[in-house]
Amino acid sequence: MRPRYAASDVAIPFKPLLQRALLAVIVAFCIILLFSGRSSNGIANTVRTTLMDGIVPVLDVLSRPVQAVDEALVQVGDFFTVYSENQRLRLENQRLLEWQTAALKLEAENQGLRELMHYTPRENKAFVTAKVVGQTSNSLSQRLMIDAGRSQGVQAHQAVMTDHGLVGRVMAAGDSTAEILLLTDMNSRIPVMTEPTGVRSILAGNRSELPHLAFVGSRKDPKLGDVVVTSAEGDLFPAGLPVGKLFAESDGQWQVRPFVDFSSVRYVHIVTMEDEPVSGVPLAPAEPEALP
Amino acid sequence: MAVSAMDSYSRQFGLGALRSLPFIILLFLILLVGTLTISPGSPLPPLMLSWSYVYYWALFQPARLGNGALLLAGLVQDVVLGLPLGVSSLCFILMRLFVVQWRRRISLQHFWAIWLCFALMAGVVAVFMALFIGLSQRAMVPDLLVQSLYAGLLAWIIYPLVHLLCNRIYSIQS
Repeated sequence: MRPRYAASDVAIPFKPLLQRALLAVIVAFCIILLFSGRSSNGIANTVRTTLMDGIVPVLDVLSRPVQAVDEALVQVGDFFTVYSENQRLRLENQRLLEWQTAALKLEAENQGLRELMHYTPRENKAFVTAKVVGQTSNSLSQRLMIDAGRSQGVQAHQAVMTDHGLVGRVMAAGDSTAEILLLTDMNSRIPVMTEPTGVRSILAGNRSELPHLAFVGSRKDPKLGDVVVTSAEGDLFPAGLPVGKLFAESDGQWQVRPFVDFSSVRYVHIVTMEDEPVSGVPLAPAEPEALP
Repeated sequence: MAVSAMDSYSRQFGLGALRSLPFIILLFLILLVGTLTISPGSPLPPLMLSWSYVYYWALFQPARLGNGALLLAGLVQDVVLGLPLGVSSLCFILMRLFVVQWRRRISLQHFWAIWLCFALMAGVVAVFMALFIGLSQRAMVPDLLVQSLYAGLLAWIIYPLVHLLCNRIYSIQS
């Protein structure tokens, strides 16, 4: 007797089912990545650093013509402003010479005082210099990509600066590349202190050019024009790295204008802290050396 | 015998390369546009050329750009543009899902109608992108939505060029 139904009539359509299951897995994977992105140890970090190590060398090669055109345009612009630039540099040179005299005098005085105190400074900061190969500075993200990573001693959470001041912190470090979170990014929180008023607070990014001070926890009030430097709260950053100046106060929030012009950052220094942070270094006199 | 086996392998390799051409070009576009927008000092805003590209292939040949390829391309775009990981992949997959639902109706229309439909898709995907970024950063900012919609608008403006490019690739493939 023949069966009533052929096997093909009752076969479950596996291919569409498999495709739907695969789609569900992919979407679930994306959602996991999305929500683990803020953690520096999560799966998102591993995927990001792995991809970055492969992509950054390609981006570096592709961006060379763009950078060459950019530099050529800057040079053409410089050609037309060379006279006014010369005048400005002359004035600046004169002003700097006056400052140099003052600095030499202060250095000698400082040296004398240190000798009196038998003070030995502990320098525990080291720098790794890296080239910026990518930069996004818009509302969607505010980050830099650099061509130095773990093999050069770069690690997550290290401070990143230029000659002018703090840029941000290392967010993720691959083998030979790293991603930097700018201090203006929404996710950036940096412990800082104002000078000379000594008010400690947190510098919070808000996607604008002017990050603000959050959690100003002091009875003293900061003053307009105060310099903002990093504090060593939580041993995250070394103390005293210049960040910016108090620019304005609106609705009880102090806005900070960073010293760094983020649009012109080409090279950065990553501060690789050694054994102990600068904070808490006692100003006690050094032990006299034992005689042989 | 050996020569014919070699021929067969090279033919299969050639066919494979031809099949994955849309994916390879998508990766190249992401890297190229990324380079232009993220080069230090570049004045260009984030440009979502990839949305136009994914829209075209989802409309005319969805099998050529599957969900796995979109996942990988999206991850690359996120790394290049510094977006939270997973955002671009979800946007690509969403766009593909929406377009595949209505592709029989849209693909037979005149170019202007296709372009108009892309405006709608880009708008929807831009809203989702802002939502995904906001969720991943636990903060919704109006500026984020404005920037996403702006990226969608730029993608819509540039769509005719992408359509032309994709037509060329399509003709090479067929």
